[in-house]
Amino acid sequence: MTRTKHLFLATLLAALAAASVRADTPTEKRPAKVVVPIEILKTGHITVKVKVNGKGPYTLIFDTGAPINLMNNKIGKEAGLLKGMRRPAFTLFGSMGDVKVKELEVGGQKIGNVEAIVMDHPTVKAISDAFGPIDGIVGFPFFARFKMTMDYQAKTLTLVPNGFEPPSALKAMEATIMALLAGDPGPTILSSPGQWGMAVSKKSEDDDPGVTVTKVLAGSPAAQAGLKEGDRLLTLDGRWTDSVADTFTAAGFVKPGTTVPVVVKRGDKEMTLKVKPLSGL
Amino acid sequence: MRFSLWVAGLGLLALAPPAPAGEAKKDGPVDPTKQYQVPYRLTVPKHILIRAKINNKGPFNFILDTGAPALFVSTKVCKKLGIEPDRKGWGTFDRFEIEGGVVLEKAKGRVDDPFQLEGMNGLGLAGAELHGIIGYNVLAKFRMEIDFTRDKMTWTELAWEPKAPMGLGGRGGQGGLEVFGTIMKLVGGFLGRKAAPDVVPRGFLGVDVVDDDGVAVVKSVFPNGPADQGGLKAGDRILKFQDRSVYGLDGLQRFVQRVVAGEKIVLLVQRGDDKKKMEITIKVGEGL
Repeated sequence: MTRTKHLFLATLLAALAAASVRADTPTEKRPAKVVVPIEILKTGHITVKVKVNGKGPYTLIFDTGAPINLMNNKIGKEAGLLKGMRRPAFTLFGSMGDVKVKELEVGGQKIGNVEAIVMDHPTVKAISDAFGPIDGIVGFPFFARFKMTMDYQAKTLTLVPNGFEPPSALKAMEATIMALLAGDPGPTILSSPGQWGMAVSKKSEDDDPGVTVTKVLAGSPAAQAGLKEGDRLLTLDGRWTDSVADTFTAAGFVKPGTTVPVVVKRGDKEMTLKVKPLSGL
Repeated sequence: MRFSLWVAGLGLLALAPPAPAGEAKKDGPVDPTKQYQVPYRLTVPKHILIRAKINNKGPFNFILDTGAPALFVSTKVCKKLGIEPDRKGWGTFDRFEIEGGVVLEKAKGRVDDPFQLEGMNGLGLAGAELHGIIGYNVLAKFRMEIDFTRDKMTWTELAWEPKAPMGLGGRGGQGGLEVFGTIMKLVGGFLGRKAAPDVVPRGFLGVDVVDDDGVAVVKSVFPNGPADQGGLKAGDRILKFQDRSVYGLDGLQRFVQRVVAGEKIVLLVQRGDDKKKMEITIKVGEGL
């Protein structure tokens, strides 16, 4: 690696090393189920009412594509998110970096100690100027904790706690970037926890859907399900298997001991077989 | 530059030009038979990745994004498929099939490369090449149940036609955030990163293993599989893998997950009533 590259990356990494602010013990309240009204903006975005540390309600965009919650400086000030933080001499979009919100509430579902960043996002501002006020984005760290049902026609969002503890998107991305610096990690090995007892292949010039089953071991789960050599495997547990890699990815989701459907084409006939992989290697 | 600032740009998009209106469909009751199990996975930045085939080509990778007003398909994909955008940048996708069986006819979408995707692809940040975003004009047609404790979503087709999303005129841009996409692309270029990592399938032993109180024990060996050919037998207790101690089935799986076809592995096993220790060499095969 050249020196220029090193410097550039070091600068980038320094920028990444933002320490998270620790908050107190969270106050959590999770009713079994709440139905929250949503508003659909003319731009196609949806908004919900949100309380931050008991302040508000504020109107925020509900965004499944946002890896993090985002609040503007107005919420930041009113809800005390910026306590003890010094405003930097220079910052883009009023960014104050990441904070921990003590309590975030949507329709009676409260979660505590949740990641957010404080910044005046230009797209939020543009939408707010047209339909506002809109003060931020509710993202993954909130909604991942619920089984959520979004219904645009009924204009409702139903939230049922699901016990899922979401990993931090920020930390995952930082780890990926750190790994970049360590150099080429080599290819990723796709693995399946189950033992199927078959092999599949596909020639590079083969553009048709599916992969061809080239081997079925006698007595294996694949053989017991009725798979045969020469079958064209189209889907495995509802996932497309258009390449060997996709087949392994699909199998990777299947826990040993569970029975899942596989769709194969044999001659002109499509059929669904049931396979129960073992815990093997 | 703050990393979190760039992250903030992920997801939220607004339209500059308005969308063409869809065909009118009357509101009505929901048909419960039109329900689909849509597989997904979470990317490194915790985006919901779903796959779709366009005109039977693909599959292509999309992010499910309620913060996007419409379907976005990359210019590269559209070029490959021969789909030309109209004057305002909208393309028509005759058959848009989402994995799990959802088929949309004549779907409208932007032929565009949002900076969020360019940035993530440039750095290989998502762990997969991203080809587009599925937003409001497609999503609003469904009642979506999303639960990360399951590996599929449930989508139910609604009996209504959502209104076409409106643009924000000249203000539909990203207000300067797009520079982060460019930076990520540049850094990725420096490092020679690809959008998607190279992948190889795990190798295959052809053996059914159970965990017996923290020891990996061979339950059965498939006739003529690699393990059988190497001489592994049912009842063998696996003690070491390539000179490293194996702790139970989980431990064995962790080792074997890094083995690819063609490699030779050596297992130390304990066999029979006299607990004789022996080394077994297996040439790893292909399969799963």
